[in-house]
Amino acid sequence: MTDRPLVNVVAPVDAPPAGYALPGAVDQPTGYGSTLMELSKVSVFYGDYEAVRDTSMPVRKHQITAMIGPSGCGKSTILRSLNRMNDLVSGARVAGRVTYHGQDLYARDVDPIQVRRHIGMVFQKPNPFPKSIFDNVAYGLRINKIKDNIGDRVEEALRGAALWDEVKGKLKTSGLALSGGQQQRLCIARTIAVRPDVILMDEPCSALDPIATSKIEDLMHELAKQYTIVIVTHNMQQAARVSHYTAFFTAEVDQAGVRHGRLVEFNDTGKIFTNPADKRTEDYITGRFG
Amino acid sequence: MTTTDRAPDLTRRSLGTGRRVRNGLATGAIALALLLAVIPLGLVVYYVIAKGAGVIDGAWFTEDIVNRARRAGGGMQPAIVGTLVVTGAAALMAIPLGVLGAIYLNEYGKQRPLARIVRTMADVMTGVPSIVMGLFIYVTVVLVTKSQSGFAAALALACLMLPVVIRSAEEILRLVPDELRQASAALGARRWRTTLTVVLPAALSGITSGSMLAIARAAGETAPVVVTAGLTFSSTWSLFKPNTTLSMQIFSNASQPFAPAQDRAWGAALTLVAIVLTFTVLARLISSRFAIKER
Amino acid sequence: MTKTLNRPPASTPAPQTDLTTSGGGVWGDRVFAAVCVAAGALVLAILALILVTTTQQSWAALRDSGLSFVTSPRWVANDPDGDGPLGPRFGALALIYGTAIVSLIALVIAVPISIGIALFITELAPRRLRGLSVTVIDLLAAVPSVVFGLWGILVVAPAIVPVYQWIHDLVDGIPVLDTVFGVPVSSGRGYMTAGLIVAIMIIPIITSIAREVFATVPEADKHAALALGATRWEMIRGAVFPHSFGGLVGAVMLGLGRAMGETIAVALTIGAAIQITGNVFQAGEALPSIIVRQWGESAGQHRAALIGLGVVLFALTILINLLARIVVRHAEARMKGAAR
Repeated sequence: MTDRPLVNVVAPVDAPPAGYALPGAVDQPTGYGSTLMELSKVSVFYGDYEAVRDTSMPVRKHQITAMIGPSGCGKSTILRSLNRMNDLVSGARVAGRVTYHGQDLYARDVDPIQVRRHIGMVFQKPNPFPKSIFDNVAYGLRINKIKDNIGDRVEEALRGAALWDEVKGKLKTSGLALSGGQQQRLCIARTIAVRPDVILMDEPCSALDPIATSKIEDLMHELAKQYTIVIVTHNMQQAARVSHYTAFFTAEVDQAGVRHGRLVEFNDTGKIFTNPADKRTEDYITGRFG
Repeated sequence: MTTTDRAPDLTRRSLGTGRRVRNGLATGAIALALLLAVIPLGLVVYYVIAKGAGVIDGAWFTEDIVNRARRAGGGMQPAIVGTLVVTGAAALMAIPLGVLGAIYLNEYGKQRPLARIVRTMADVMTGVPSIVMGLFIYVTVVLVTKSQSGFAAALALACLMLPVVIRSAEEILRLVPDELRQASAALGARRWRTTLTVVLPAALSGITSGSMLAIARAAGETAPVVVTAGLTFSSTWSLFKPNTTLSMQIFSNASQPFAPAQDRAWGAALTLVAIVLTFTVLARLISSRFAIKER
Repeated sequence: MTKTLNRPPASTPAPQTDLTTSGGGVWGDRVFAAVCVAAGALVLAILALILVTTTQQSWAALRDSGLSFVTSPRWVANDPDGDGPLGPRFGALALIYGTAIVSLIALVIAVPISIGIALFITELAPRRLRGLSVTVIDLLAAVPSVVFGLWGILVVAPAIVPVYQWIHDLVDGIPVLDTVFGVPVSSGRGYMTAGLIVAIMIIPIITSIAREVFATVPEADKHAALALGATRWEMIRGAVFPHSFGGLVGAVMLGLGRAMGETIAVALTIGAAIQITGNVFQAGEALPSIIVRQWGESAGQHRAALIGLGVVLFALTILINLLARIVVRHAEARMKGAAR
């Protein structure tokens, strides 16, 4: 317990997360990295409980943004607020603004269904439907009434998810018959088949073995050429390997003794891992925490 | 390139009309289904109260039943007494046996072949039509003792209650945390003592609640009573004489074309519904108030 | 004096702790276990006894009628004039037919409603309405069937004749339909009315099983569908239904078993006419209802035949229930396998 000093530290509420204003990573091609989504002062409540407090950060186009931090720090909660999956939890409420292309995702006339159509999600545990591989990928196309060239679109999505060569001969078999890593790539294929803008990934490799994990990580680099990716991960090495930007979250206890998740620092991944601005980030990445 | 720099339209309007309409229609149909179940429930309750309340007065609870379909007056005391006697006797037989059976399934049998068969068959037994249970008791008890009686009816109801009690009690016993059993065993208690002094008390409220629901269901049963109980128009607390119940009175009076008989049926229905609902509500209160905390 | 002393005499020095089992406790454990096993096995005994004793009691009637007991539509309990050419005849076909028609009508009405309610409770209802809906279904299950029968015979049947007439006029002249929805019986008591009442009574059981089935659909699958931009209905069709088909089949079969065995409400509302007709607005008779109706006036062979009807009913419902349980269990096991 003694090596968790930050639990009792109360940060000044108004201080913006260190490094917020820093420009994008230097090794990125020009034109990339413009802000696609932006969170400003986002808090997520479950009933009266404020699970995450005052999160402000950008999501940059065609970049991979990683969210890291100890469990209970609210990183998954924030991720789910980006495509309104929190709506499904009864009593959940989002305060602050989440913008996408400049429009407020929580505005009155915004349809969460359309939000999710443009901002897709890959879950922690591979969750293919109990249908054939083909039907899994085609599902999103069918509900969106895309009827032309379904076969081509399915193939394109499976190729995009680096799964085509492994399944092309058995598209009719059940998606559940695949290995865990293949199932997760099938879920990625299912997501990109509807050509979303942003892909949210909630610890996509935590249920997978190292080989399957490295395949997905390679895939993420490929996907970033076409999509904007936000990934929540437990695994700091993974964040360091795949992401361009990293947001470090932690859990802290306020004066009332209530535990909240909080964004500590947002910056270039390189800076976060070599020269973090905040002591808490440094403690975490050097293993003195969590 | 799959993405554009222009902002996509995220408003509801952008969702295709077909999809929106289909979603709306399906949602409406699903909500309508509940309404379709509420309507008959509301109507039945309304008619039972509206038509039954006028019949019930002081004499209803104290006087014998008038044995003439055309004549008004009289009371329903014999049927009320009969319902209590028959259902009570059935509960006294079925609940202890059912709880013991549940203890077998959850504490001893678990996943052994015999236990699995008993579990499946108890489920199947809940599906045996009540009239068949009545015929069974008629054949094995009434024909042997050569008389229809409240006891025979109680046996039939007990057979109907038994599987319900077994399965509901087993569900509750399964919720009792194993730590309790281990704690008792670690103190040197034998299995039967652990079961009777630790497991059962922990499950008591749940078992009571499940048993009350079984009693409520049994009190409303008609068909098995019709073939086993015989008939009487005056009160008897004896188990071994022919008896009558509220449900029998509803059945026999409902098919009469005469208003006084039909009124009696409505009155008996109101009385029966009141008894059944009392037990149902008590069961719910007990289970919500004293539920085992699930871990 | 070989082993009669359980306890050493007081004068001997303190013995070593005895860890062997002492007689009394073990005996208690065994007796208690045996009592519990017996109580569990009672279920099997009762089911076996039902089959054996009722078959034996009705054997005389079953043997006399032979196969015609289930193939003949003629059920003539007694021949009061004594001048009938054949005397009493017991053929249950018309009754089996009545049971089948009433059950079918009940299922056609109850299944969509029950699935709708189950979906409402599991997928759609806000938390407060969910509790209310569950209460409504519990209350529906709590009302005794004889009360539904009373309401059916005294309120529904007289009031519904104009509706039947209207439907009949609507389809008049259309082949098949004008036979099925034929001229209604004037009392309003018939297959359709009985089916309606039975439908109300089987809604709770189908709903509760369907709810259990829907509850086994992994949350992950629903989220996956929604994250692709599915509407709620598309999510239900794409993620919930494929997962629950087997379980729903089981639920419907359990409802069928309950509908077939429903006795009193059917007896009150079906109209007591032993006939086979395609017109659902006509009066009929069913297996269980005729037993209670004719029980009081029966004796001898007639009563044996009524018990024989019980045997047929028992066999049918056991078969359906057994199948339904197997289907439900199979479906659940498969779901667990899929969800891991």
